Amino acid sequence: MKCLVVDDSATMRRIVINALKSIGIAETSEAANGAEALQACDPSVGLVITDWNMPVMGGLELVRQLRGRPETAATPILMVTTRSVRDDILQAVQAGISSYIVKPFTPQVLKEKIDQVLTGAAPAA
Amino acid sequence: MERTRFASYLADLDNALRLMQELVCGVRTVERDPARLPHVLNVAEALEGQQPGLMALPEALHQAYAAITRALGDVRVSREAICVHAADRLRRTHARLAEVTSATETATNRLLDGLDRALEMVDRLDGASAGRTGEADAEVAEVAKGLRAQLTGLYDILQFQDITAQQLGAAGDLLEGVEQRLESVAALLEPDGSLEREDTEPWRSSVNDARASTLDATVRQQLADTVLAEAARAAPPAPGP
Repeated sequence: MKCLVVDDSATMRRIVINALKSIGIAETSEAANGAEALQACDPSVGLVITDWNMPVMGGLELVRQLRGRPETAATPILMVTTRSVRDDILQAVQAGISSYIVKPFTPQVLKEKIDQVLTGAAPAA
Repeated sequence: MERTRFASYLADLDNALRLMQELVCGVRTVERDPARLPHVLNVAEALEGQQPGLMALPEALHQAYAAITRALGDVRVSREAICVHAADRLRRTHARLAEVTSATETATNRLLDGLDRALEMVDRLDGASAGRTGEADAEVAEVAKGLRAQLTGLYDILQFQDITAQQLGAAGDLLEGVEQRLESVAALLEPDGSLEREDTEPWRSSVNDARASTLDATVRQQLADTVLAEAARAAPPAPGP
Protein backbone atom coordinates (compact mmCIF):
# COMPACT_ATOMS: atom_id res chain seq x y z
CA MET A 1 0.00 0.00 0.00
CA LYS A 2 1.27 3.45 -0.91
CA CYS A 3 1.10 6.23 1.68
CA LEU A 4 1.10 9.94 0.81
CA VAL A 5 2.83 12.01 3.50
CA VAL A 6 1.86 15.69 3.53
CA ASP A 7 3.79 18.16 5.69
CA ASP A 8 5.44 21.50 4.99
CA SER A 9 8.40 20.47 7.16
CA ALA A 10 10.83 18.31 5.19
CA THR A 11 12.23 17.11 8.51
CA MET A 12 8.82 15.95 9.64
CA ARG A 13 8.16 14.17 6.34
CA ARG A 14 11.42 12.25 6.78
CA ILE A 15 10.48 11.32 10.35
CA VAL A 16 6.99 10.12 9.35
CA ILE A 17 8.37 8.17 6.39
CA ASN A 18 10.96 6.52 8.63
CA ALA A 19 8.27 5.66 11.18
CA LEU A 20 6.18 4.15 8.36
CA LYS A 21 9.17 2.07 7.23
CA SER A 22 9.68 0.84 10.78
CA ILE A 23 6.12 -0.50 10.81
CA GLY A 24 6.40 -2.09 7.39
CA ILE A 25 5.05 0.57 5.01
CA ALA A 26 7.87 1.21 2.57
CA GLU A 27 6.02 2.68 -0.40
CA THR A 28 5.55 6.39 0.18
CA SER A 29 5.19 9.67 -1.69
CA GLU A 30 5.48 13.23 -0.37
CA ALA A 31 3.81 16.63 -0.68
CA ALA A 32 4.68 19.91 1.05
CA ASN A 33 1.13 21.29 1.28
CA GLY A 34 -2.51 20.51 0.54
CA ALA A 35 -2.41 21.78 -3.04
CA GLU A 36 0.58 19.56 -3.89
CA ALA A 37 -1.14 16.66 -2.17
CA LEU A 38 -4.26 17.02 -4.33
CA GLN A 39 -2.02 16.65 -7.39
CA ALA A 40 -0.12 13.71 -5.88
CA CYS A 41 -3.14 11.81 -4.59
CA ASP A 42 -3.62 9.35 -7.44
CA PRO A 43 -5.59 6.08 -7.21
CA SER A 44 -2.46 4.22 -6.10
CA VAL A 45 -2.50 6.08 -2.78
CA GLY A 46 -4.13 3.93 -0.11
CA LEU A 47 -3.53 6.18 2.88
CA VAL A 48 -2.97 9.91 3.37
CA ILE A 49 -1.10 11.22 6.40
CA THR A 50 -1.36 14.99 6.61
CA ASP A 51 -0.26 17.82 8.85
CA TRP A 52 -2.78 20.59 9.64
CA ASN A 53 -0.75 23.83 9.60
CA MET A 54 0.69 24.31 6.13
CA PRO A 55 1.06 27.21 3.72
CA VAL A 56 -0.85 27.44 0.41
CA MET A 57 -3.45 24.87 1.49
CA GLY A 58 -3.72 23.51 5.02
CA GLY A 59 -4.57 19.98 6.08
CA LEU A 60 -8.18 20.72 6.97
CA GLU A 61 -8.96 22.07 3.52
CA LEU A 62 -7.10 19.13 1.96
CA VAL A 63 -9.34 16.69 3.86
CA ARG A 64 -12.47 18.53 2.69
CA GLN A 65 -11.27 18.53 -0.92
CA LEU A 66 -10.32 14.86 -0.86
CA ARG A 67 -13.70 13.94 0.64
CA GLY A 68 -15.38 15.92 -2.11
CA ARG A 69 -13.70 13.94 -4.90
CA PRO A 70 -15.37 10.61 -5.71
CA GLU A 71 -12.02 8.84 -6.25
CA THR A 72 -10.68 9.85 -2.82
CA ALA A 73 -13.94 10.12 -0.85
CA ALA A 74 -13.19 6.85 0.93
CA THR A 75 -9.39 7.08 1.18
CA PRO A 76 -8.29 6.79 4.82
CA ILE A 77 -6.85 10.08 6.06
CA LEU A 78 -4.79 10.47 9.21
CA MET A 79 -4.29 13.97 10.58
CA VAL A 80 -0.93 14.29 12.37
CA THR A 81 -0.68 17.66 14.06
CA THR A 82 0.39 19.72 17.06
CA ARG A 83 -3.18 20.95 17.44
CA SER A 84 -4.85 19.21 20.34
CA VAL A 85 -7.69 21.43 21.47
CA ARG A 86 -11.10 19.72 21.50
CA ASP A 87 -12.61 22.20 19.03
CA ASP A 88 -9.77 21.61 16.58
CA ILE A 89 -10.19 17.84 16.81
CA LEU A 90 -13.95 18.19 16.28
CA GLN A 91 -13.34 20.40 13.26
CA ALA A 92 -11.07 17.74 11.78
CA VAL A 93 -13.67 15.03 12.46
CA GLN A 94 -16.33 17.12 10.75
CA ALA A 95 -14.04 17.66 7.75
CA GLY A 96 -13.84 13.87 7.38
CA ILE A 97 -10.59 12.57 8.89
CA SER A 98 -10.37 8.87 9.63
CA SER A 99 -8.12 9.29 12.66
CA TYR A 100 -6.11 11.89 14.54
CA ILE A 101 -2.57 11.75 15.90
CA VAL A 102 -1.06 14.39 18.17
CA LYS A 103 2.60 15.35 17.67
CA PRO A 104 5.00 14.23 19.00
CA PHE A 105 3.92 10.65 18.28
CA THR A 106 5.56 7.26 18.53
CA PRO A 107 5.65 4.65 15.74
CA GLN A 108 3.46 2.49 18.01
CA VAL A 109 0.68 5.11 18.01
CA LEU A 110 1.08 5.55 14.26
CA LYS A 111 0.78 1.79 13.71
CA GLU A 112 -2.22 1.54 16.01
CA LYS A 113 -4.09 4.30 14.17
CA ILE A 114 -3.16 3.00 10.72
CA ASP A 115 -4.34 -0.50 11.64
CA GLN A 116 -7.53 1.01 12.99
CA VAL A 117 -8.38 3.00 9.86
CA LEU A 118 -7.35 0.24 7.45
CA THR A 119 -9.47 -2.36 9.20
CA GLY A 120 -12.34 0.07 9.70
CA ALA A 121 -12.33 -0.56 13.43
CA ALA A 122 -14.12 1.98 15.60
CA PRO A 123 -11.73 4.31 17.40
CA ALA A 124 -11.23 3.35 21.03
CA ALA A 125 -11.41 6.12 23.61
CA MET B 1 -5.92 77.33 32.16
CA GLU B 2 -4.70 78.25 28.63
CA ARG B 3 -8.04 77.22 27.22
CA THR B 4 -9.89 79.56 29.62
CA ARG B 5 -7.59 82.44 28.69
CA PHE B 6 -8.15 81.85 24.95
CA ALA B 7 -11.91 81.54 25.44
CA SER B 8 -11.85 84.90 27.19
CA TYR B 9 -9.85 86.50 24.34
CA LEU B 10 -12.20 85.07 21.74
CA ALA B 11 -15.23 86.41 23.67
CA ASP B 12 -13.54 89.85 23.79
CA LEU B 13 -12.83 89.70 20.07
CA ASP B 14 -16.39 88.68 19.30
CA ASN B 15 -17.74 91.48 21.49
CA ALA B 16 -15.37 94.02 19.91
CA LEU B 17 -16.44 93.08 16.40
CA ARG B 18 -20.10 93.38 17.42
CA LEU B 19 -19.49 96.82 18.96
CA MET B 20 -17.56 97.91 15.88
CA GLN B 21 -20.46 96.95 13.65
CA GLU B 22 -22.83 98.84 15.94
CA LEU B 23 -20.50 101.86 15.85
CA VAL B 24 -20.33 101.87 12.06
CA CYS B 25 -24.14 101.65 11.82
CA GLY B 26 -24.47 104.37 14.51
CA VAL B 27 -22.14 106.77 12.68
CA ARG B 28 -24.22 106.34 9.53
CA THR B 29 -27.48 107.17 11.38
CA VAL B 30 -26.12 110.14 13.35
CA GLU B 31 -26.27 112.27 10.17
CA ARG B 32 -30.02 111.73 9.94
CA ASP B 33 -30.70 111.56 13.67
CA PRO B 34 -28.23 113.61 15.76
CA ALA B 35 -30.07 112.47 18.90
CA ARG B 36 -28.33 109.11 18.53
CA LEU B 37 -24.90 110.65 19.05
CA PRO B 38 -24.72 109.89 22.80
CA HIS B 39 -25.48 106.25 22.09
CA VAL B 40 -22.75 106.14 19.44
CA LEU B 41 -20.29 107.66 21.88
CA ASN B 42 -21.22 105.02 24.47
CA VAL B 43 -20.52 102.31 21.93
CA ALA B 44 -17.15 103.85 21.09
CA GLU B 45 -16.30 103.98 24.79
CA ALA B 46 -17.27 100.35 25.26
CA LEU B 47 -15.13 99.40 22.27
CA GLU B 48 -12.19 101.21 23.76
CA GLY B 49 -12.70 99.18 26.93
CA GLN B 50 -12.15 95.96 24.97
CA GLN B 51 -8.70 97.03 23.84
CA PRO B 52 -6.54 95.71 26.72
CA GLY B 53 -7.85 92.16 26.14
CA LEU B 54 -7.46 92.37 22.37
CA MET B 55 -3.93 93.73 22.70
CA ALA B 56 -2.98 90.57 24.59
CA LEU B 57 -4.34 88.31 21.83
CA PRO B 58 -1.30 88.44 19.46
CA GLU B 59 1.03 87.58 22.35
CA ALA B 60 -1.22 84.70 23.38
CA LEU B 61 -1.28 83.41 19.80
CA HIS B 62 2.50 83.62 19.66
CA GLN B 63 2.78 81.61 22.89
CA ALA B 64 0.34 79.06 21.56
CA TYR B 65 2.35 78.68 18.35
CA ALA B 66 5.55 78.13 20.39
CA ALA B 67 3.80 75.51 22.52
CA ILE B 68 2.53 73.69 19.40
CA THR B 69 6.03 73.73 17.86
CA ARG B 70 7.50 72.26 21.06
CA ALA B 71 4.79 69.58 21.13
CA LEU B 72 5.50 68.65 17.50
CA GLY B 73 9.21 68.37 18.37
CA ASP B 74 8.36 65.99 21.23
CA VAL B 75 6.13 63.98 18.88
CA ARG B 76 8.99 63.71 16.40
CA VAL B 77 11.33 62.45 19.14
CA SER B 78 8.68 59.93 20.30
CA ARG B 79 8.17 58.72 16.75
CA GLU B 80 11.90 58.26 16.21
CA ALA B 81 12.17 56.43 19.52
CA ILE B 82 9.40 54.05 18.45
CA CYS B 83 10.84 53.49 14.97
CA VAL B 84 14.49 53.23 15.88
CA HIS B 85 14.45 51.58 19.27
CA ALA B 86 11.26 49.57 19.65
CA ALA B 87 10.37 48.54 16.09
CA ASP B 88 13.96 47.91 15.04
CA ARG B 89 14.64 45.83 18.13
CA LEU B 90 11.52 43.77 17.47
CA ARG B 91 12.61 43.28 13.86
CA ARG B 92 16.04 42.09 14.97
CA THR B 93 14.53 39.70 17.53
CA HIS B 94 12.18 38.34 14.86
CA ALA B 95 15.14 37.77 12.53
CA ARG B 96 17.03 35.98 15.30
CA LEU B 97 14.10 33.66 15.95
CA ALA B 98 14.01 32.81 12.24
CA GLU B 99 17.76 32.20 12.35
CA VAL B 100 17.41 29.82 15.30
CA THR B 101 14.63 27.92 13.50
CA SER B 102 16.72 27.65 10.36
CA ALA B 103 19.79 26.51 12.34
CA THR B 104 17.85 23.80 14.20
CA GLU B 105 16.28 22.63 10.94
CA THR B 106 19.70 22.35 9.29
CA ALA B 107 21.12 20.55 12.32
CA THR B 108 18.13 18.19 12.47
CA ASN B 109 18.46 17.35 8.78
CA ARG B 110 22.15 16.57 9.29
CA LEU B 111 21.24 14.33 12.22
CA LEU B 112 18.63 12.61 10.02
CA ASP B 113 21.27 12.12 7.30
CA GLY B 114 23.52 10.56 9.92
CA LEU B 115 20.71 8.34 11.14
CA ASP B 116 19.93 7.25 7.56
CA ARG B 117 23.57 6.26 7.06
CA ALA B 118 23.67 4.48 10.42
CA LEU B 119 20.53 2.53 9.51
CA GLU B 120 22.16 1.53 6.19
CA MET B 121 25.09 0.15 8.20
CA VAL B 122 22.66 -1.76 10.42
CA ASP B 123 21.08 -3.17 7.24
CA ARG B 124 24.54 -4.31 6.14
CA LEU B 125 25.15 -5.93 9.53
CA ASP B 126 21.79 -7.68 9.22
CA GLY B 127 22.65 -8.76 5.68
CA ALA B 128 26.05 -10.10 6.74
CA SER B 129 24.60 -12.23 9.52
CA ALA B 130 21.49 -13.36 7.63
CA GLY B 131 21.27 -17.09 7.09
CA ARG B 132 24.22 -17.83 9.36
CA THR B 133 23.75 -19.85 12.49
CA GLY B 134 26.98 -19.21 14.39
CA GLU B 135 26.95 -17.81 17.90
CA ALA B 136 28.80 -14.68 16.78
CA ASP B 137 26.30 -14.14 13.94
CA ALA B 138 23.41 -14.44 16.35
CA GLU B 139 25.02 -11.83 18.54
CA VAL B 140 25.56 -9.53 15.54
CA ALA B 141 21.90 -9.93 14.60
CA GLU B 142 20.87 -9.15 18.17
CA VAL B 143 23.10 -6.07 18.33
CA ALA B 144 21.80 -4.91 14.93
CA LYS B 145 18.22 -5.26 16.14
CA GLY B 146 18.97 -3.23 19.26
CA LEU B 147 20.80 -0.59 17.23
CA ARG B 148 17.88 -0.30 14.81
CA ALA B 149 15.47 0.26 17.70
CA GLN B 150 17.74 2.90 19.21
CA LEU B 151 18.19 4.70 15.90
CA THR B 152 14.47 4.63 15.16
CA GLY B 153 13.84 6.12 18.60
CA LEU B 154 16.22 8.95 17.76
CA TYR B 155 14.20 9.72 14.61
CA ASP B 156 11.11 10.16 16.78
CA ILE B 157 12.91 12.46 19.20
CA LEU B 158 13.75 14.78 16.32
CA GLN B 159 10.06 15.71 16.07
CA PHE B 160 10.98 18.37 18.63
CA GLN B 161 12.40 20.43 15.75
CA ASP B 162 9.04 20.74 13.98
CA ILE B 163 7.26 21.57 17.24
CA THR B 164 9.78 24.15 18.42
CA ALA B 165 9.86 25.65 14.91
CA GLN B 166 6.11 26.21 15.19
CA GLN B 167 6.49 27.73 18.66
CA LEU B 168 9.25 30.06 17.44
CA GLY B 169 7.28 30.85 14.29
CA ALA B 170 4.24 31.76 16.36
CA ALA B 171 6.38 33.99 18.59
CA GLY B 172 7.77 35.59 15.41
CA ASP B 173 4.23 36.19 14.12
CA LEU B 174 3.38 37.88 17.41
CA LEU B 175 6.45 40.13 17.19
CA GLU B 176 5.56 41.01 13.61
CA GLY B 177 2.06 41.99 14.73
CA VAL B 178 3.44 44.21 17.51
CA GLU B 179 5.93 45.72 15.06
CA GLN B 180 3.11 46.59 12.64
CA ARG B 181 1.09 48.14 15.46
CA LEU B 182 4.07 50.24 16.54
CA GLU B 183 4.62 51.40 12.98
CA SER B 184 0.97 52.39 12.79
CA VAL B 185 1.35 54.41 16.01
CA ALA B 186 4.55 56.00 14.62
CA ALA B 187 2.68 56.87 11.40
CA LEU B 188 0.02 58.62 13.47
CA LEU B 189 2.78 60.77 14.95
CA GLU B 190 4.22 61.72 11.53
CA PRO B 191 5.04 65.46 11.67
CA ASP B 192 4.04 65.87 8.01
CA GLY B 193 0.50 64.98 9.01
CA SER B 194 0.32 61.75 7.09
CA LEU B 195 -2.49 60.46 9.24
CA GLU B 196 -4.15 58.74 6.32
CA ARG B 197 -1.77 55.81 6.43
CA GLU B 198 -3.79 52.64 6.72
CA ASP B 199 -3.70 50.71 9.94
CA THR B 200 -2.67 47.32 8.59
CA GLU B 201 -3.91 44.16 10.24
CA PRO B 202 -1.10 42.11 11.76
CA TRP B 203 -0.20 39.18 9.58
CA ARG B 204 -1.72 36.06 11.02
CA SER B 205 -0.03 32.84 10.13
CA SER B 206 -1.87 29.64 9.35
CA VAL B 207 1.44 27.77 9.41
CA ASN B 208 2.49 28.14 13.03
CA ASP B 209 0.65 26.74 16.00
CA ALA B 210 1.30 28.92 19.04
CA ARG B 211 0.08 26.12 21.30
CA ALA B 212 2.39 23.47 19.82
CA SER B 213 4.04 21.55 22.63
CA THR B 214 6.43 18.69 23.20
CA LEU B 215 4.78 18.03 26.58
CA ASP B 216 1.91 15.74 27.61
CA ALA B 217 1.55 14.15 24.17
CA THR B 218 -0.06 11.06 25.73
CA VAL B 219 -2.74 13.09 27.52
CA ARG B 220 -3.46 15.10 24.37
CA GLN B 221 -3.62 11.93 22.28
CA GLN B 222 -6.13 10.50 24.77
CA LEU B 223 -8.29 13.60 24.32
CA ALA B 224 -8.15 13.14 20.53
CA ASP B 225 -9.10 9.46 20.90
CA THR B 226 -12.01 10.39 23.18
CA VAL B 227 -13.32 13.03 20.79
CA LEU B 228 -13.08 10.60 17.86
CA ALA B 229 -14.81 7.85 19.81
CA GLU B 230 -17.63 10.22 20.79
CA ALA B 231 -17.97 11.36 17.19
CA ALA B 232 -18.05 7.75 15.97
CA ARG B 233 -20.84 6.90 18.42
CA ALA B 234 -22.82 10.01 17.48
CA ALA B 235 -22.57 9.71 13.71
CA PRO B 236 -22.06 7.12 10.97
CA PRO B 237 -18.46 5.95 10.63
CA ALA B 238 -16.06 8.14 8.66
CA PRO B 239 -15.22 6.95 5.15
CA GLY B 240 -12.84 4.05 5.19
CA PRO B 241 -11.59 1.32 2.90
